[in-house]
Amino acid sequence: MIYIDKYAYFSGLKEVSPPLKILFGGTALIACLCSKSFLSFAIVFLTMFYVTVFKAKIPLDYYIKLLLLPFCFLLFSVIGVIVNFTRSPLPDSCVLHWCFGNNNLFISEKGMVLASRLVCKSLSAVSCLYFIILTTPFRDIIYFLHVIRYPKTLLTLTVLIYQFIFLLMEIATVKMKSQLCRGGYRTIKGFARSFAMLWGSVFIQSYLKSEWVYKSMLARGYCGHFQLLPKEFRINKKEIALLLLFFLFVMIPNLF
Amino acid sequence: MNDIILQVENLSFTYPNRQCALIDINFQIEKGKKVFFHGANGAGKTTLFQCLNGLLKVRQGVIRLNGQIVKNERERMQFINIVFQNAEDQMIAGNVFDEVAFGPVNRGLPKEEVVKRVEQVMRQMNIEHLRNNPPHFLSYGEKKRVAIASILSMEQEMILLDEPTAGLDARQREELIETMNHLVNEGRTLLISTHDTDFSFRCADRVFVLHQGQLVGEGSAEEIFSLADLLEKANLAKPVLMEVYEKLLKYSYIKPGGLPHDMKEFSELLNNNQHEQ
Ligand SMILES: Nc1ncnc2c1ncn2[C@@H]1O[C@H](COP(=O)(O)OP(=O)(O)O)[C@@H](O)[C@H]1O
Ligand SMILES: [Mg+2]
Repeated sequence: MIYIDKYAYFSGLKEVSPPLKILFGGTALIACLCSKSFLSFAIVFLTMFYVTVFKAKIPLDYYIKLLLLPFCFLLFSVIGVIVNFTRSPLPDSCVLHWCFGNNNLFISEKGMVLASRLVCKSLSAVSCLYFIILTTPFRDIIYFLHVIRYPKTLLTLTVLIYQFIFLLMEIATVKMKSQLCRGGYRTIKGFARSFAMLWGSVFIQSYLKSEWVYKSMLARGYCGHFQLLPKEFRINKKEIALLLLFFLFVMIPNLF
Repeated sequence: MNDIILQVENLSFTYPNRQCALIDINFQIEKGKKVFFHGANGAGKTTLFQCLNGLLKVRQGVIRLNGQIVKNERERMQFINIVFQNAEDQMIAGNVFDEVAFGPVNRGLPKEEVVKRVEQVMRQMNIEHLRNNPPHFLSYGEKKRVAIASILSMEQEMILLDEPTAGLDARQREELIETMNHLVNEGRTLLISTHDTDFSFRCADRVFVLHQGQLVGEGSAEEIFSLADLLEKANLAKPVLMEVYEKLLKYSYIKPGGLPHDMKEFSELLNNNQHEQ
């Protein structure tokens, strides 16, 4: 997991201009969120899959692992959508039901369609975000946000949170390694003990480290928000036209 | 006497971002020796150590311990341990005593045995007075000693030290060398990665040189450090004593023979030459 932001530096698309990649991912995302049709979701997902795995050359097994992560969350949340509860008689379209006296749990056709739409929509939306994350270095995303006048305070927060999440993860990973070396996590009791000790010390160390980071920023004239060097982000008319075309293409299935 | 404790055959390792960090490494290590691994930053020393001890999964190549192939990472960890480059990364407990006790407790040893070991190791590493201090707030040298102690308390046969002298002052370095000698006398095997050629020239039984993931040199310290090309290639400085010795020879201040490995030997050498003149 720790590699998620590193792939952008090695990806096959690292030469492509960052705003184009972000706008492409963004367009697909918006199109996907505005759509209702399964065909649209399929187009978005397959496009993103193709571009991420074959163009950006992100290893397939890693990509699948990344997708499984939100998928697991989705499955759990979708249960709530599929399974309905009623005290009145069951609707006609119900596929499966369990009765507990007066109380009925049932799965309806409508619920199934809704749920599968939700899953497809979420997964294709996530694939757009993964495309952006896996092909655009974080620095470029920040520049992009800066160029489109994203509020300064939020931008600074984004940068800091990002840095400290990775700081935390890096510290936790390496400490876990040191515990493994010394036989931690072998038994259930050992696991609990090691895990508790791990987070105790990760927080102390990341606190100390972040203090140093902050001091070093102050020493270099940091005063509340990051100043970025202005950088030209060009995007030409042809590219905008292509993006629009892609957007329309995704939206077409919704007309039927 | 020449028991081979570790054999590495055709070991290659690639990071998930497809960076080849080790390419077809072959070597063997004798029991009870101090073996030094040299190489520029990024040559692959840390990666090699993590592969040996099992922190990184080895997909290509074979690692034998005492002649037996050991595939299982956990089994290797029982046998080989690493003192990390960055001592801070190893600190996980609330105080120094618990830190040193972490390994033995995980082994499931009885309490008296754990306490005995911890006390002994803390005495050996000279950190007894720090026992109740939280490890995160120690000085660098103290952290380093705690880190070494927390590995020693597990009493394993083979210890890998990743850049152990970085950040130590002169006295701490002497103490480290003393500890290393002590461990080797107990029959343990030490693998040390370092840039510090003076350090290895003084202590090494054998020296390996890594360059861009490949093993490009192997030999005694004298052999390796007389290969100017190799040193150049691997960004290594010639040990100062060796340089001085060669200069003295060149201007015939001394007679050939008896390359000194530390200051004591060097003084003797000068003394002897003075008497003869
Ligand atoms: N976690 C990692 N992911 C990807 N590449 C890495 C990682 N760690 C090290 N490397 C790369 O592997 C090579 C060897 O690194 P390392 O073993 O740390 O060298 P050394 O310890 O000799 O300085 C370097 O080129 C480094 O960039
Ligand atoms: Mg290293």
